[in-house]
Amino acid sequence: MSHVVGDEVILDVRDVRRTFGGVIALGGVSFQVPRGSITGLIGPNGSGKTTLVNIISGMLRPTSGTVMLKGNDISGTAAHKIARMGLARTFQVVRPFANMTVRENVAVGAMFGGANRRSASEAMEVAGSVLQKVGLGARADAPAEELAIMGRKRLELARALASQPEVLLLDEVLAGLRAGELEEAIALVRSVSETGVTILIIEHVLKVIVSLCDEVVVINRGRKIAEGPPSAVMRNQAVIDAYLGHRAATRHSGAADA
Amino acid sequence: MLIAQYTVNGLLVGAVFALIGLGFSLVWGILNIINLAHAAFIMLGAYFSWMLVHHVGLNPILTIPIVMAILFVLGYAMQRSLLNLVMRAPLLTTFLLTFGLETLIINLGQRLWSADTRSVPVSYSGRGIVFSGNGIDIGRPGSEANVVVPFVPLVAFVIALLLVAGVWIIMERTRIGRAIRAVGSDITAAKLMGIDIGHTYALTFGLSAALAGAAGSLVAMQQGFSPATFGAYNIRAFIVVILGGLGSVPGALAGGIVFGLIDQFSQAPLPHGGLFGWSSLARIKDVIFFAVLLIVLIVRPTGLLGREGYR
Amino acid sequence: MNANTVIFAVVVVLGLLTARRTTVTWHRVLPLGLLTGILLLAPAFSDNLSVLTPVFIGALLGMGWNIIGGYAGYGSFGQVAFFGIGAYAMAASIATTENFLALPPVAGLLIAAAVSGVYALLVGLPVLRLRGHYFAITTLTLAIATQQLVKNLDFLGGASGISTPIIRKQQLLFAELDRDTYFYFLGFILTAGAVLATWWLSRSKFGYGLQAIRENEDAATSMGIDTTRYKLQAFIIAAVITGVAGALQAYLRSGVSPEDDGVFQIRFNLLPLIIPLIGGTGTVWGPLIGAFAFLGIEHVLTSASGSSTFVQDWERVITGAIIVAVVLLLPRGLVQLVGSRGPRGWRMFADNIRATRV
Repeated sequence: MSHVVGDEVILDVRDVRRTFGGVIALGGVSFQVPRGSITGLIGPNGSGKTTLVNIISGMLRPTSGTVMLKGNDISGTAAHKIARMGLARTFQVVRPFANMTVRENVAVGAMFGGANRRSASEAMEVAGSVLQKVGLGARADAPAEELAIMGRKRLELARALASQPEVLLLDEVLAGLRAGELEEAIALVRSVSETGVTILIIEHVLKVIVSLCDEVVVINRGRKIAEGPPSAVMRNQAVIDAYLGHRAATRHSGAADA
Repeated sequence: MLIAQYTVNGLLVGAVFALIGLGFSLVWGILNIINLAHAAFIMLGAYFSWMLVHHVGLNPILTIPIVMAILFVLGYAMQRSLLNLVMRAPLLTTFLLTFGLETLIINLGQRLWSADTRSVPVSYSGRGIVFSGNGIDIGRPGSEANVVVPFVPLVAFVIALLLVAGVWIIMERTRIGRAIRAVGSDITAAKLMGIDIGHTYALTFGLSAALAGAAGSLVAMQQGFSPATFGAYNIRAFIVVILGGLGSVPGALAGGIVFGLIDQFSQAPLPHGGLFGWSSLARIKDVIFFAVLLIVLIVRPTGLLGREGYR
Repeated sequence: MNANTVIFAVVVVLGLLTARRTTVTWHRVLPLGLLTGILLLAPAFSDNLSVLTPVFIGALLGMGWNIIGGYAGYGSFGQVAFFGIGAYAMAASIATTENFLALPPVAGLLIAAAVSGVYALLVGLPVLRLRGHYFAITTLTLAIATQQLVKNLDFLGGASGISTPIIRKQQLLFAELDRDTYFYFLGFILTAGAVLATWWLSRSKFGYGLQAIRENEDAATSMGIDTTRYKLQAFIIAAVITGVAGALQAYLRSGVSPEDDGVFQIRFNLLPLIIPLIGGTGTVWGPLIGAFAFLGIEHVLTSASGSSTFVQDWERVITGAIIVAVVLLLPRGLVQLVGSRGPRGWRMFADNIRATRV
């Protein structure tokens, strides 16, 4: 990988807990993301990944614990303010702004996010160049709703990149892609990382993680169960149990299946 | 008047409000449609009852099953033909459609039946069960110090409760009720189970219309009305559902009772000569309801008894 | 066919041409110029100018709703609350009887705008926390509550309302005009102002922010849009435009009444919904086109039948039927006819229905 991983911790998640009524969605998760890295956050369905992403991006408050972005405490800060501090995210269920063109969709990202918030006309130009980078340059003035799934994912990425974020959260962006599309998507993510953007990629598919990530954090049932370079994590017994053998895990803990 | 009287009145009207809220809640919970034509159905119920009493000489209570049957068919047909076309449309579209239908029907009513006030005369109106210092009696209220349970509202109360209970039984114990609940909670699963979605939607809508019609008949028995009287019922239905919780028959009942109590207690005289020259808050009843609505929606949006899915 | 009918039709057509999606600027500037010309010269051609001022009021109602409902996607079902408040503020400002202020009309309009805006600020803070159905019904409840409140405040005239002086001849800018012409141009100026404001908004950051909120509010928030603030601003702007429409109404009708046939009547709650719907929500020209189209049809129906009571009696029924038809067949409004995408002709209507059927 040709991107440079620095020493500075740009995103610091400290003992984050989140409960919904009686249900413990996250039971105290901690990890650090170095600047410039591509870090994977993986776990089986229902492990709490999306809840964690929502907390980091400000859509949810943590019940306790802190999230630090570039040294600032952002726990409980409103999502739009976090976006202005240089953090951008994509959504698992990709829904572009249907009644706008592709360019306008991306321009909104440039207008409101990041540190350099543009005026409407500047944003349109910035949008054009971002669209080139993700490969949608030719469709810039088409209505967004005409894009097919791969186009929509590119658009989602472009919208996030338009704000020139320092940290990019990719929430299951690779789901539902066919083999060829997957290759393209992985290459795209790598090229973004090479521009210096720190990426936290939340994924369900393990193969991709191995080829992309410097570090991987594994969570299961709201707790971190492993952390480290992909090769080590993939051989971790607890991780294998979590993904493959619910039966193996329950035999030990005696707990009911999620 | 005594607090006991306000409470009695509140409970009595509350059951009818519960009935109105229940029909509204069914369509909202299962079809996800806020049906503004609900008020129009109530109006039709009142006028059909009136016509049956006036032209055919039927006993007011006997008009209720007939009115319910007519409204059921009307509701079924309306959903199957018109509303089915907008099931997947954005909320505003469906809202406007039912708004348009309401305007159409209520003003059609104004053309057919004129704006004159009608009422359905009931032979035992004006009298009730009177609780006074001398014990329990039947007849007219007598003094203000007595608590009276008037007959006509009492009959309406009983009928409304029976209908609400009937719906609860249908939803809990019959196959069609289970089908309706299935369609409301998971339409894909319902389809896989072989349930005819279109038919079930239409049945639900028809049931809601029938309940509205019955409520209309009950209203007609108790007060004078004209087509314009019914416009306010949509908001009332909405507030009943918000208070009690969407998706629950007991919720509609609870919401209706609470609504009825607020409605009646707002007529209580204010102490110290009133506020702004108002002797009671009855004149700004709708302002109170607006405030109640806001508070409930912000503090406890699921209502007193609401939960996911329909029960 | 009288002159007014021609004016209605021409305005609708020119409006549609102006609204056309085209890259050739000339194709839009020419119709716009003609449209402005026709509207400025209408007093010379119209057979009854007093029919046209209410159309401007309708256009303003539509444009007000369009900001919160069309652009921001928060369909308010209670704009009549602000219409009434604006009307009352105007009446209280210009009335010359006892407790009232006897101010000149311009001051009245400004006060009406300010009062409507403040009311929207106060009410908007809690109400905008709600979305979709809840927002719609709560605004409807707001409208009813506002009417009831105003009716029961004695310092606002209680149940009898407020009377303001009847205007016969009045000075506007550099000329003294007769009543009909005066109100016509007043309506024109206010409408033009609202169109300009909407046009500016549609190209601004604020406008894009509102549209993002409409399309996907959660994504909008996570993209850095302060949705709470933007929604409130849109709600206030919508209220101000609607309140100014109400002020014009009070001025025109020489007073306000809180009764069900007064400034709070259902018609003034329906028009903000129908007019943008017919013309095209979330567009700059939609409300203006919708106002002239809908009120034009009404005008034709009134003058066509021998006795004008026929239409008045059936008006609401027809209105209801029109709403139903437009919602089903042309939900994007008349501007869909000049839009650049989708099928044309009868297929467009069929597609519109198919899109939302189960």
